Amino acid sequence: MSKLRRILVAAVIIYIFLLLSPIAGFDIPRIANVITHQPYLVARYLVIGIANGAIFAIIALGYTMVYGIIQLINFAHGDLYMMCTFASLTVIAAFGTTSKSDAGQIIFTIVIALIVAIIFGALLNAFIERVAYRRLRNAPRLAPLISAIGVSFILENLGQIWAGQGYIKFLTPYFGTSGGAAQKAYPDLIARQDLFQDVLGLKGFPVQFLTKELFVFVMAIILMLALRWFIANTRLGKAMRATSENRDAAKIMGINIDRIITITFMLGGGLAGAAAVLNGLYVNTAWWFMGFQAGLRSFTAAVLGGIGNVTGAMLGGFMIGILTSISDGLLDPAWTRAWVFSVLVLVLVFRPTGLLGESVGQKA
Amino acid sequence: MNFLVAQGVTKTFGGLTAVSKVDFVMEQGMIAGLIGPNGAGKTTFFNMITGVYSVTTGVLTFNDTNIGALKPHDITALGIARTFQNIRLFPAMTVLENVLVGMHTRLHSTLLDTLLKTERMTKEEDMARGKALDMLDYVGLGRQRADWTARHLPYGDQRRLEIARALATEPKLLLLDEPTAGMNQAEASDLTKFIQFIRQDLKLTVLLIEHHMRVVMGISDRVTVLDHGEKIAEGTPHEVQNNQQVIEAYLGSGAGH
Amino acid sequence: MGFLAVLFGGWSPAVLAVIAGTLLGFLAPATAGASSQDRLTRNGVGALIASTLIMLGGQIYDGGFLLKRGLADVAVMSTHPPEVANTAALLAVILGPLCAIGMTWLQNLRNHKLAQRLNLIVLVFFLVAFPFVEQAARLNWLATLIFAEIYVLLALGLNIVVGYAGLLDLGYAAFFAIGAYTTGLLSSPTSTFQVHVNFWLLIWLSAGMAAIFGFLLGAPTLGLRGDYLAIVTLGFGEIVPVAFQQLIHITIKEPFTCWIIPAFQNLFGAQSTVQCITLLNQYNLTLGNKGIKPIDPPVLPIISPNDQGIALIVKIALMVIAVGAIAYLFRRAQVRNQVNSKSNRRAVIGAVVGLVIAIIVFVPIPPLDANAGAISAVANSVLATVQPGAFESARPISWYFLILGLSVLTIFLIRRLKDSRLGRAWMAIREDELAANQMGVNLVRTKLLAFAMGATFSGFAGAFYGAYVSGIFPNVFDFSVSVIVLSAVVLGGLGNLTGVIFGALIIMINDRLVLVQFQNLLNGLQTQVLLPAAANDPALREFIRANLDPVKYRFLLLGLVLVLVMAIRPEGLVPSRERAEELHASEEDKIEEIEAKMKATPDKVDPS
Repeated sequence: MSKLRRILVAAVIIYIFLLLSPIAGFDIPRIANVITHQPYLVARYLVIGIANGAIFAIIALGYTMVYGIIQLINFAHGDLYMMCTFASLTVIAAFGTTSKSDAGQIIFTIVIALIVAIIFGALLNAFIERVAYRRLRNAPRLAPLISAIGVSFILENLGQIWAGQGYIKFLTPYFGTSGGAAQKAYPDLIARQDLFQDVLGLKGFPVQFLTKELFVFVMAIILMLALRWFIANTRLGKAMRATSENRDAAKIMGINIDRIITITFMLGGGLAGAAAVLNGLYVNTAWWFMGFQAGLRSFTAAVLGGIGNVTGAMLGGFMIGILTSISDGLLDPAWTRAWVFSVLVLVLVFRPTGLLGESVGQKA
Repeated sequence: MNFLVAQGVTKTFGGLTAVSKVDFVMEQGMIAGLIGPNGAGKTTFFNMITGVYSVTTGVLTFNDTNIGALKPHDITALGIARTFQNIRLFPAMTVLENVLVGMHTRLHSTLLDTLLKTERMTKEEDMARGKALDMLDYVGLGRQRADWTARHLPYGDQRRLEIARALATEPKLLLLDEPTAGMNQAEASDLTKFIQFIRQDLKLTVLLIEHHMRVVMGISDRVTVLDHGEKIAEGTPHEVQNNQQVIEAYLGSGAGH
Repeated sequence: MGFLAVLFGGWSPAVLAVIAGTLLGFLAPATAGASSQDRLTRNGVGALIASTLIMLGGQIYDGGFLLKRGLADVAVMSTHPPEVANTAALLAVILGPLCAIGMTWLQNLRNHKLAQRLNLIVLVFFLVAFPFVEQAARLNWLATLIFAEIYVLLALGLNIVVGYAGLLDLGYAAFFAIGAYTTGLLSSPTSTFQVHVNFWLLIWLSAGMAAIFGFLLGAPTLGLRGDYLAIVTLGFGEIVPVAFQQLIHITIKEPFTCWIIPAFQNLFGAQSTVQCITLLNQYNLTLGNKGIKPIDPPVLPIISPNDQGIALIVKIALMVIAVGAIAYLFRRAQVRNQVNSKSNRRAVIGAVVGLVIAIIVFVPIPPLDANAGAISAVANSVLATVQPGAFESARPISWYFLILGLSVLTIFLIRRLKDSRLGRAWMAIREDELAANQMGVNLVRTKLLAFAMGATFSGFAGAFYGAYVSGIFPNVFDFSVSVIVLSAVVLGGLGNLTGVIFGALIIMINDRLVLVQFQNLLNGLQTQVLLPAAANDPALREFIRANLDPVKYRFLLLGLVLVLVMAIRPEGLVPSRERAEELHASEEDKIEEIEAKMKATPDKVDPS
């Protein structure tokens, strides 16, 4: 009897979903039409999704590590990523490198931009932790969160100034002096080549796969493997894990908690810096508000994967990336945010601690 | 009429079996002790009776109602209350409010009553406050400290407040999870007497987990011993004390520490 | 405050000095253990210093160096004649200390009940008199204050969710939006519904709609704990504005007839034979980014001569209910008369307030005879706030009183909730979810009610906002609204009503009033003084023009305030109950000692 009722309820929910979801672009006949007639489009969306997802995943690592160690939603992380974008942009502008420069200079510039962005992100994040969060370790739960929101506002405003709404000449040779709200161009340094058509010589191959997508993907994988190796095998990494398991116990074991937390923030910040360069080179735009959406999606990715779980963040990042690009392409870009969060809610309803989160039993 | 009956109750977490096929019967009015080494599954058993965990297999009934899958608040409404091993008061609320939360299921004013402040609601509130203050006196906390924030009470008084809060739910069965933990000899014996007193006075049935052997042996009508999730012995305190398996379990776990 | 006087000039020093003095007198006794006489002198002197500073600020604005530079003709500057500045200065220096001394004296009263009651009277007097004084002094603060009060209302509602129940809600603006859109859709000539529901009814509908969405959001997500809930609410807050933006070409086709059955038929090679049922085609619900405007303002009195049909019946029914409620309260007062004089008095007060409101809402109030002298002139200006047409005109005073009334109602209801079975359950969940559950609190229902009640009050705020601004747009309700409201709640002091109100007022007044005025002032300074001075250096000129604008740094400033306040007072600005208790702990101990001695009867029921 109750089983029948459950089936009926499910049927009603599915029917209402089918009835209403076309409003938000989930129009099955149209989607089926695209899939059958233009399958290469779907493949293309997957490629874009994986490249974007790689970037989300790297940012999500910063969220998840910080959350794992001090249970703080570091709201400023997305804006830190934005600041790193501007830092790298300033470096590139200082070198004067454009897509027309010779290969050596381009590679050199990218390497320097990466290094600068990583160091900038690491130091800025450590600085933020020191100034805004450290003294709030034992404060009420919401205090550090509000502090993080405050830092986020500060960074956004600084980004706005940096992007040229203000007039701080030595920082903005690239931007000019006005119109900071608009998106800025980020130089397209990696030659716009298609992997299949231009590099492999497969003329007429229907799926587009740009070299810079490969670049983003490979770099992201390298970074993630490096991080995993660091956490699993180094003394610091082990100390980090111990601290996130049980801070008090770690302290008793002689681990310097402050130092570990600083290093966690530096790692997260450095990863955000790397993600900023990858994203800049891939998307070729930058603006002061980019951190908010990127941060939101990355944080969603971290939650989806199970917050505090490094592998989960990577998985979640790719999932959010693919979901985003599929929704942008096949459904309706205006409703992408809604779809992303609907999937999140759905996952959390069935797995309350995320995909790879440990299901911590309530202790009595 | 069976009061509390567990038949083959089992709880597993993933691959781990915390409580395994435990049969357990309580008659109304008795005081039963539950002992066993650390990790024996005592608290898990408590958590199943109070609904924190659902029973994996087996049947758990209270007054012939199957409570194996009920939610904690429904079980409280049926008349089971508990205290916690490490005190879990509502630290930032006042002493009085703590007791009033305990009375939650026995009060009936609705949202609308509250917003309109109906007569029913004001009367009920006055009655509840009076009862809660009496309860503070009853457990020996005294009503003068009713407006204190709970976390400012000394340790022993926090224990008393926790019992007051549990009694405020008007239970038929009271579960006490290591009520004398952290108390000295004199305090523990005070509390023992108090437990016996409320059993008489309120016609309560009490199930307690206890590490103080003197307490549990002195107070219990019957003692049940768990080890590694299984019931290894049951009987009068005297019987259990002389049970070879129990002695081994304790010595074994003692050697492990 | 002195800084504020520099910003606003004109009559502001007098007003500011009164506020500063009163606040000083009210707050200072709580912080010191000095004797009452000492306090009186100290606060008097303190207020004198403060007032002098404020007076000087005003002088700087009006008569000082800026005037000599020819700033007086800049648009920002008030059009007050010079003697205003002098009178205002004099008033500031006299009134500031007087208020401080008066308030200190009040706090020093032995009779605490009386002191409390007088405090309340002073507060009410201030709140009622303020808009009139403000108008007379031409300060132009009222519009901002109304906005600030909308945020007060929002913060009060969010406080239920975050402060009482401990559920972190980062998408609170969504409910605000739902309230506003309900109002907009049901009372705008541009809305697709083409109905004009009366505001006084609509405000409840909006609140109810927000509450329903509170339930809808809460139902699937309340199993989540802590920060997981936060991210889901954040997502909801992101989706709602998107939905309002995008619900402009809704097409709903019945799925079976439109594609499922035809698809099967195609699969078997048959021609599709069913007729596709289209329920809605390109239906424009929310008008997207164009927004819904204008929106009908509230109408007074509620019954107008050209009402007919259902509207008339509903209105008459409302009137009957109102009269019935008032009669009930009077009756209850009578019944209670012998039993409990306190609740008796409350019932009478409730009935009288209800009667006044009912008269305002149902009876067209005529103006008094204008020729009867000064008193009737004052009375007229008061009456004008509730006369027919009060809300249609651009007079902000009526709106001020409306939002004030809503806030008072909200505070009233929330205080009731807090001290009830439900309120205690909320706090118990916040303190220890598991223990609360074990004490019999139904977690899901309690949390849902917290969400719904929180949403209800933001529904009020939304309805008011829609009617006040007379236009709503989806991008108004973005994440920054949620964050500012949350900041207000935490900044002021989580769970503490006074703190929450102060938090919202401080943030909004600083953001919308002080900063903007500061910008105006700097603009004046820039065009009049700095740019001419830097005439020879084009780079410097450009730098000044681009950067000397405080509004550009508003987020920087807000962020700094948040970080600083959290660093200095992580518990919020207004001490919570517990802090206050710690401050008074020594006093309480003494009282207890005395009590213990006086009793000296060992009547402990401890059976040990």
